[in-house]
Amino acid sequence: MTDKVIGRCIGETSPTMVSFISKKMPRVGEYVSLEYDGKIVLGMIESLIRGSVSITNEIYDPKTIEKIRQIEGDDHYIKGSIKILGDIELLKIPRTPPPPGTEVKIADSNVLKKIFKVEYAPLKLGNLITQEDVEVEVDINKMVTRHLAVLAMTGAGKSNTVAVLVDGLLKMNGSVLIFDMHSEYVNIKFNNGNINTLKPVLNPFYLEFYEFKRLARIPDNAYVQERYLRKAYKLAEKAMRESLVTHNDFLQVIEDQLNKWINDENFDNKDKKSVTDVANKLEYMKDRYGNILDMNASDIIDNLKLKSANVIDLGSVDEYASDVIVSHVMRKVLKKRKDYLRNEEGLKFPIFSIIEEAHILAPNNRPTESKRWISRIAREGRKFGVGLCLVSQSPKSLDSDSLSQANNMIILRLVEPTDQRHVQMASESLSDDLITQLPSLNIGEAIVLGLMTKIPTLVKIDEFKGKMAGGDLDIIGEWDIKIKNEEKRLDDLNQEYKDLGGDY
Amino acid sequence: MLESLYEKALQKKQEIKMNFNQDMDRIEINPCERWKNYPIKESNQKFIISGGDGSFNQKRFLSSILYAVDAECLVYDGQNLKKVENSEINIIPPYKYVRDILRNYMSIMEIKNSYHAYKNYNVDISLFDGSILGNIIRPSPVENELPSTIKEEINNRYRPQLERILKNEENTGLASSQFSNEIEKEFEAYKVESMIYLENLENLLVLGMFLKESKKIVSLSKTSTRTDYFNISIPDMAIFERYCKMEGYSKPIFQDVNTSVKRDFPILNKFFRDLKFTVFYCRLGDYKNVLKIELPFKASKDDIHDILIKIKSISTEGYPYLLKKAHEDVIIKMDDMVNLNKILNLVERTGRDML
Ligand SMILES: Nc1ncnc2c1ncn2[C@@H]1O[C@H](COP(=O)(O)OP(=O)(O)OP(=O)(O)O)[C@@H](O)[C@H]1O
Ligand SMILES: [Mg+2]
Repeated sequence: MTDKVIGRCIGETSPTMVSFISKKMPRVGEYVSLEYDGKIVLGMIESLIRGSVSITNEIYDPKTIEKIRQIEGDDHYIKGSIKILGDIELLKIPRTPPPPGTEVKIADSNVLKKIFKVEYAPLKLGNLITQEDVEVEVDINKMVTRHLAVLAMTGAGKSNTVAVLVDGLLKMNGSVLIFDMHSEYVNIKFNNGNINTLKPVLNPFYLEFYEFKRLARIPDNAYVQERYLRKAYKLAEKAMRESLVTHNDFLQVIEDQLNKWINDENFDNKDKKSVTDVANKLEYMKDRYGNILDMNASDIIDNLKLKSANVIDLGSVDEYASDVIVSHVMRKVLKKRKDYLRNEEGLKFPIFSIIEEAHILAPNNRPTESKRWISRIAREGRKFGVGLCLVSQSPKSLDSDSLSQANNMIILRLVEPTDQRHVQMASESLSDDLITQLPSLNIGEAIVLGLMTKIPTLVKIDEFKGKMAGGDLDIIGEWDIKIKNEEKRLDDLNQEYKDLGGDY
Repeated sequence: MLESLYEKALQKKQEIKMNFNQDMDRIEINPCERWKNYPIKESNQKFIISGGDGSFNQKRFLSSILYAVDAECLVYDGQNLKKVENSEINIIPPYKYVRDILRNYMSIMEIKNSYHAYKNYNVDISLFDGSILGNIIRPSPVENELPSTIKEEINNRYRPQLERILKNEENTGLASSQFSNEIEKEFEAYKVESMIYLENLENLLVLGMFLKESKKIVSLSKTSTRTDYFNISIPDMAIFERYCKMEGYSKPIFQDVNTSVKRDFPILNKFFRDLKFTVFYCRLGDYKNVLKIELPFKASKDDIHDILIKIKSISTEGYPYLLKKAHEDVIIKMDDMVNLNKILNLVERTGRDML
C-alpha cells in the first residue's frame, strides 16, 4: 500500500478542499484517498503545479539554470489541490477536514470500479482517463429525467458521444429522438437497435394555427392578414371534419377561400390588399416549403418507435424550416406525453430527444419557436418522461436558461474562454480548476458531471464501433480517388478510341 | 519617519553626493596595476567541494531570549549533492553578549559541519562564507572581563574533556553546553563569562583541528572593509569594484597571524601564531561581484589558479552556488522565529507590544 502514497496534505484544509505536496507526479483528474478520523475519503486531483525552490523567476541567465540543474539534479516539488468527493462508502462529504500531514494515496481501483458501476439503469460511457482499467457507467434514469448537455468545440467528439449514448439507450430498450441537422445519423448502424428514419415533413393539417401562420410568415402585428387567414383556415378545418374534402385539399380549400374574397366585388376594398398579401404568402410558402409540406403525411408522433433511434433528417432543410419542424415535434412530444399520463392516450413511452446544433435552434440572443419548446421541456420534461440532450459546439450562443436546466454535462475539449465561462455559469459543480483542464483534453476525453454520475469524473469516451458518417474526412484520400477516377476515365476513352481502331 | 527627512534629503542631496566616494579620486596608484585580468577556465577534472553557511536569530522577551541557530554544509562531487546539518533552539537570559554568544554557536556548528564533511566525504576544497582569519583573531568578548586565574582553571579542567568529545566525529553539536551546570556551580560569580569563555575555547579547538588537517579551506566574503592595497580609508573591495571590471584577481597579500595579533591565544598558541594567510580579491566573471578570498597558507600563483578554476566551475552569476544554496537553506527569518514560537507558545510581553 505504501507505494501508492503520493504526498501529504499541507496548509489549512477544509472538508471539501485540501492542498498537498508531492514528490511523485500524479495526474489531474486522478482519484486519491485520504484516511483520517477513522474513515477513508475519496478526492479528485483538480490542479497540479511543479516548481523548484532554486530555479525561481528571478534567474535571468539560462547558464545559471543549467548549472543549478547539474548540481541539484531534478529536485522539484509538486503542489496540487484535491476536491474531496466524500467517504468511499456513501460518498457523503465528511464533517471534519483532514489533518494537515495526512497521507494522500492513489485511490484503489476496486473502490473506483464499485463507484462507477450503476446497478439499475447502466449505460457504459467509457473508462477513466487516469485509471484506464476502471469502466465508467452513468445512470440512464438520472440522465433522461435531468437532461444532458454535450458540449465541445468542433471535432472533439460530440457526435461520437451521442452515438455511444444512443447505442447504450437502445440496449436498454430505450427510445431516442434525434434531430439530425447534418444527416449524420441516418446511415448509422447501431449494435442494439434500429434506425427509424423520419422524413422532415409536416402535414399542415396537424399544425396549430399559429404554427401554420408562422410558416406562412405572417408577421405578428399583421392583424388583418391574420384575421382572414384564420377565417379561411377554420373553414377548411370544418370542411375536413365534415368530410367534404380530403387532407390533400386542405391547403387548396384555404386558397380557394382567399381567392373568393379577392374576386368578390362587394368585398371591402380596404381589406382586399391584405387578403391578396395572404394569398401571395401562401403561394410563397408552398414554393419554399413544398418539400416539408405533405398533405398525406401522418403525425410524426405516431411514427415514433421503441428500441429505436428515431431520426428526423434535417440535413436538407434550412434553418427556418428546421425551427418549424423541431418546435412542432417538441411541442407535440410534450403534449402527447401529458395526454398519455392523463388519459393513456398519446405517446406511450418516455423518450430522450437529442438536439444537435442546439445553439442554432435555441440561441441565446433571439427568440425562436424551438427555443420556446426546448426550454419548456427542459423545465417540465422530467415529470412527463421527456428527456432532453442539447448538443452544441458553441455553448456561449446556446440559450442559458435551457443549458442551466441540464443537470448532467459531458464536456469535451473546449478552448474558447467565453464558452468555458458560459458552461461554468450553468453548472455549479464545475470548478475553476476543472475548467482549466478543458483545453488540454484530447479527442474523446470528457469531464462528466451531474446526477447521472456519483462523482464528477474525467472519462475517455468509448469510440463508437458502428459505422458512422460525419467523422473527419480523409481529404487527401478524396482528392486521390477523384484524380484516379479522372485518369481512369481518360484511359478508358483512349482504350475505346483504340478499340474503335482510331490509332491509325 | 518624520516627513522633514524628505526635505533634509532634498536639501543635502548635492552635498552628500559630492562626498560619497569622493576619496576614490585620491588614489595614487592605478588600481588596475594591482589587478590581473585572468579568464578562468572551467575545470572538468573531478573534485569534491563543500560549501557551508549558518544563521541565527532571536526573539526577545523581557525575561529571556528565544534563539535559534542552524548551519548546513553541502557537498558536491560532480554528480550528487549531500548535506551535513545542525540546529539548536533554546532560551537564554538577556545577557549583554547575546549576539557574540549566538555568533559563536553558529560558527562552531559551521566549522564542525565542514570538518565532518571533510572527514566523511573526502572533500578537496571546503568553502566558507565569511572569514576564518577573522574568526581566529577576533578576541573573545569576555577576554578582559574574566580574571586570569579563572581562565586558567577552565582551560586546565575542561580543555582535555572538550578535546576528547571533539575527537568523536559524529558529534556536530555544541560540546561546551555539557558543562554548563558544572560551570554555573563552580564559578558562580562569573558563570556567564565563564561559559562564553569555554565556548570560545571550543571554537578555537575545532578550528585548530580542522586547520591542522586541511589547508584547502577557502573563506569567501561578499563584503570587506580591509584596506591593504591603497593607503586610503576606502575599502579595497570598493575600489576594485569600481575600477577593475574584468574576470581575474588581485595580487595576493600575505598576512602572518604572528604580526597581526599581539596577545597570546588561550590554546594552540604556537600553531595559530605560525599560520600565514593569503588574501586576494577576485571576479569569477566579467562585471560579476568582487569577492574577497582568504586561504590559510602562503599560496603560489598555481594554487590560486587551481582554486579559482574549481570555484568557478560550481558558480552561478559569479558566486559559488553551494554557498548560495546553503545560505538560502539556513537563513532564519523573523517569520521563522514567529512560527517556531507558535510551537513553543512562549507568551510574555516583549516590551514592544505597545508600539
Ligand atoms: N471517443 C473517441 N475515441 C476515438 N475517436 C474519437 C472519439 N470521439 C471522436 N473521435 C473521432 O474524432 C472525430 C470527430 O468526432 P465527432 O464527429 O464526434 O466530433 P464532433 O464534436 O461531433 O464534431 P462536429 O462539431 O463537427 O460535429 C471522428 O473522426 C471520430 O472518429
Ligand atoms: Mg458532430
